[in-house]
Amino acid sequence: MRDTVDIRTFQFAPDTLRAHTGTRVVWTNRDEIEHTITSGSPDAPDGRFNGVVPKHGVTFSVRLERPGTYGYFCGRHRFMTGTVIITP
Amino acid sequence: MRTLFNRNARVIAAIALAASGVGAVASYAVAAPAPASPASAHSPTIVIAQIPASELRAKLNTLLQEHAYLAASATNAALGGRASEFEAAAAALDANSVDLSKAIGMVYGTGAENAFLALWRKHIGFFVDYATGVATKDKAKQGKAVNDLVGYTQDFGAFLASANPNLPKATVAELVKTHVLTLKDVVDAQGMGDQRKAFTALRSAASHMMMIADPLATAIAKQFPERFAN
Repeated sequence: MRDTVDIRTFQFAPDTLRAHTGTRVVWTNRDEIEHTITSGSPDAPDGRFNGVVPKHGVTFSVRLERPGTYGYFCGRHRFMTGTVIITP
Repeated sequence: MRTLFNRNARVIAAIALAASGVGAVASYAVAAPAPASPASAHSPTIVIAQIPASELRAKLNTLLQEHAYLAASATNAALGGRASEFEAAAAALDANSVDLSKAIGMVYGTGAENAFLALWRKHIGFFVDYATGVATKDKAKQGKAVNDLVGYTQDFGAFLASANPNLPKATVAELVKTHVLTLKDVVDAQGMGDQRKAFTALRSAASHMMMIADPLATAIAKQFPERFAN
């Protein structure tokens, strides 16, 4: 299984993604600037994943095997936040 | 800007009413006179009205020039040690930022509005850092603030390029860089206590905002010709 999140105009779209366990989530940078996909919150990164998508068209993916709510943000633009909700 | 938003809100309501009667979906909500042919049950009409592109250009020019004047007012008060005046100017400057972000949101939606506001406030924060460096004669702080501001021009260019294909990132970044440098001249003159030079520089800084507002308005009108009439 695979689901996608676009990074466009300094936003994660969708900002909340719901998927099932085992889904590979793919983030694609549609902006002409570097973003990161860093798990946790801007005040408390949790180290689960940290991807860098330096330019337009670059992707980063993670397979999420466990149910739960995964918050993430962009480390360069900390106002950019998103959530992946994984259910069984 | 308020007039623009109020008018827009009226038209949104008018379109919602028209749409509810005929089952049509209004794709755009913009201001204009009522259509010549009223909607009927047999011929659903989507009411697409327009704002003159010149109105958009004028509003963006007003807001961006206001930004330059309010920013300079805030730094002048801060460097002059007038705390209450600084606070008032900073509050007005932020209100201007919110209005600008609403203008962006009117075109590109709430998500873009919020992202724009965060980005815009960021560059104001860097300017506060620069003014603080000037006030304390801290060259390192000034240098870092300038670097942050130059870096920010790339972010801002990327934001607008992503929103609008008619706005190349490098072009926008260069225009915003000039904005940064012209306003830096103002702060430098204020820091030296040379008010004549500061106000002369401020006229240049404010005048330059047109170089951002005009291309932005033109690009938006080109991107959405159905919403902004020439």
